[in-house]
Amino acid sequence: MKMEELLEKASARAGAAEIYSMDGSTTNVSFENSKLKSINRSDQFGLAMRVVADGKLGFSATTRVEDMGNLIERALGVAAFGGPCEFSFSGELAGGGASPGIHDPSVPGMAVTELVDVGNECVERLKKIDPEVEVFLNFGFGEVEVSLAASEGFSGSYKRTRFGGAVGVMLLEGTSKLVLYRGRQAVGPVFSVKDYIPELEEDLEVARKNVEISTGVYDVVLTPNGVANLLWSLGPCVNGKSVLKGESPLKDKLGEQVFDERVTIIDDPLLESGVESRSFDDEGTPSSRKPVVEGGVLKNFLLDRNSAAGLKTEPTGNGLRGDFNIAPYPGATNLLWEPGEVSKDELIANVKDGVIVDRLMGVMMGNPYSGFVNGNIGLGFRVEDGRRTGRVKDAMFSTNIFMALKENLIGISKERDYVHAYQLPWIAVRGVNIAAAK
Amino acid sequence: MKDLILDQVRGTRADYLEIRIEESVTTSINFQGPKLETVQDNMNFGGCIRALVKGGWGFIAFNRLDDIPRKVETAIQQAELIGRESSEKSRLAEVPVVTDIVLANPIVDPRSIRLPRRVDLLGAYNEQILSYHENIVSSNVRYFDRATRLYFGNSEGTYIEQEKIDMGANMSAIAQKNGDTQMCTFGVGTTRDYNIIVNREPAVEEACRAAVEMLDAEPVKGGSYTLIADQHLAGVFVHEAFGHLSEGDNVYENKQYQELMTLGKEFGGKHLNVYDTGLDVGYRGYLKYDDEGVQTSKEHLIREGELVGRLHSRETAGKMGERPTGNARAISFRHPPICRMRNTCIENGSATFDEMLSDIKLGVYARHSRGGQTDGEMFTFIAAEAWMIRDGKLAERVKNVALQGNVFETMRNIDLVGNDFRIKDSAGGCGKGAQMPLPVSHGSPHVRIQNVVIGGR
Repeated sequence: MKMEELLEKASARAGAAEIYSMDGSTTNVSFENSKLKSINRSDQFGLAMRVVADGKLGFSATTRVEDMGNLIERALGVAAFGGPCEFSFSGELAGGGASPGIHDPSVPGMAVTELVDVGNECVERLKKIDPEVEVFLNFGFGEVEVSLAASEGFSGSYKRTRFGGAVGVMLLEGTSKLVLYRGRQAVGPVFSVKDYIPELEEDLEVARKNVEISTGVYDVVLTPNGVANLLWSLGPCVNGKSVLKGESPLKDKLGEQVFDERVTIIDDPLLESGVESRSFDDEGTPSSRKPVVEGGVLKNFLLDRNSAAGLKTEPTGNGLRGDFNIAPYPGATNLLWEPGEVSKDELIANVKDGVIVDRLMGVMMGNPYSGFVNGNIGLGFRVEDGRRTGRVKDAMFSTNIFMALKENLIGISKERDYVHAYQLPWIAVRGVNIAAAK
Repeated sequence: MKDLILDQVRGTRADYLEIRIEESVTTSINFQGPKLETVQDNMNFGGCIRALVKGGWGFIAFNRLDDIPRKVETAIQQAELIGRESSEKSRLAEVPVVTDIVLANPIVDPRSIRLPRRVDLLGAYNEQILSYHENIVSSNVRYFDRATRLYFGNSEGTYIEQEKIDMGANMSAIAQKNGDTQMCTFGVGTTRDYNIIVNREPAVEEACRAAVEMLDAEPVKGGSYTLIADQHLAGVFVHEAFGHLSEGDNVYENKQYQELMTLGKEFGGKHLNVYDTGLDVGYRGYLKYDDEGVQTSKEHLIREGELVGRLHSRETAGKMGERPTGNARAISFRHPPICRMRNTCIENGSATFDEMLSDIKLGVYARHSRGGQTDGEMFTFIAAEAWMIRDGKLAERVKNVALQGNVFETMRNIDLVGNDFRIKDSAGGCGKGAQMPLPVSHGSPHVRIQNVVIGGR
């Protein structure tokens, strides 16, 4: 059965229907403990249907092509006991904005052997730097075709490719374990993991020395990775669903100064060659570039059709499905934090007595609506008189994002780095609580 | 299905070949605030083939069962590509060849309860939360049940069909006052009895009370404290702090790790005993066979403070010359099995709660967990609720309690193990690599730990 036929049948039975499908293949190549360990391929097909019957919403998904007919029955079956549906499926014409360059034709046919060669070279070079380290690498590449059609009139599809690579080292000295890694995701092979080796070498030299830190309040420079950890708390606060439910502390703050005026964060699904770029979201709303925070002022919440209807406003094109079998939910696409004026080296050079934080553990288990970001410093560097003097570990990082990015913000770097689909700067904040065993 | 699988794996040129085919149906229900947000019915069907050649693994996952011989060939070719680079031999620990059919045998199968009754039950909990107190602004009530049929066969002749049932519910109360938001969750899970989710109003009420009371609590002051952890938190602690470290895939090809984790090494006091088991029927960590067709067992990891075992796949056991334990698990056919926990527990000790409290001048009592994370040396977890301990007595509530520690030091710092063992399940699961959430359980009595670092002002 074709999708149009399925949609027609479903909308004849229910008042309204929407079908989402994905069909793709991903290959992963991984090196563990300095040697090639596994090559995995995953071919994935998935089909999801939302129906509205008697004003009630039902969702069903399947990975079985031959199950299409059944899908209608199952979606209707759950809709009978579903919740009231206050939104409508998309009636927009396909293609909201310019095609954001999300397909690299070289990706589907990539040669695994070439990646293996790159991996072997990285292992060799890193082992030469320090024979004691174990090297880990991961490459992933794939192509997926996404199609969406709704009884209200939307119909669209696109193919996207992704290529990701990461390289890391692990060093175990006594019971002290050090893990360093760098990587990136992109639409195609526009970078090489080999380029991360000098940075890993530099970090390894400093981080293999553990230095003490005592409990206190410090200036902290967050790397782009660290900033992503901080943003974990912001995401749920600007999510339309938590605004609608009244959970977000920012729910009444649209148009208000919530952060320092130097903070501008944009959600840009139309970014050229962005990992999360798309001309329409996962429920057919056209994509648009929008500031979340501009000049420190809260400008937009991220809305799917459901939360937008609840808030009596328009969806922002942020209805995303984490996977085909999950209903759309508000989420960020490519999050771009506008660069600042100073260099990251200057930010670090100005720290007299502080810490650089790259990786926090346990942040996502916290309570995002409290604004508190608590995490064990997985990778951090002690900074004394503007210089990195060694690794900080066995210490807890604790701050509140609404203070860290407001009165406690020192500066934002002009350099940015990729963290998944985000482009984030280094930022320096004061007043961070560090709790240590000593 | 048996013929389809065994015909393909028999007489292969790979050193080892296995096929797994899985079909599952998941029903999920979610209330957020006053609204029934989703009722879902998802069918997941597919399979995977894993081939081993000279120590290298090739793996392919798929939804379509057509053209299996070509898929087998792809998996073998991937493995050969790795094998070509290697001079090693494939080594898998030997296990008995098994033919078995395992039925779920539920006491009350969730599928026997009509969908509207399941929706109504969760709706009633949701209503209970929302009407508890004026400061409760929202709720999140999530329920799922999953029935799975799993078919497994390998080139050694093992063929197993397993029927599994897994279900759980998490019910969260979200309270707000003066710009502060606090959240508390009651979670429950089971592999055999829907009734475990029924009649839980007292526990839901307790979560509501905690969320509301925490609004008036002060954030904990950061520093190093003596900590008493309740059964749930101690269970998460042993899972994060020690369980992951015991997974054989960290150790088997890493010399430094092998030195660190030599069997016989002292990890704690004589009063400390830790095990991982697949045998506890009804809990979410229950498992008769793992995803390599190995029958599970109860494995002591620490006995009287001494490291005595670890969690193995056939490969890690084979390479380390140790006994396979049935810990190779995959969250679905989309992933190859890796070393994972099942039900991980600290065994009962002899201390009473009052004994633990009595000589603490300043400490923290932490209850329930919002989850934890580890990097193999350091770990962290978030307590759902906490109180200060002052002069041997429970004192005021505190909030935002995130704990951290160093695995090796913290295990040694457990100075008292309680006598009130309990196993905890929830609707969540464990994550490792890209595989999340995997159903696991953990259990423990109350434990007391010295010098635990807690974040905060």
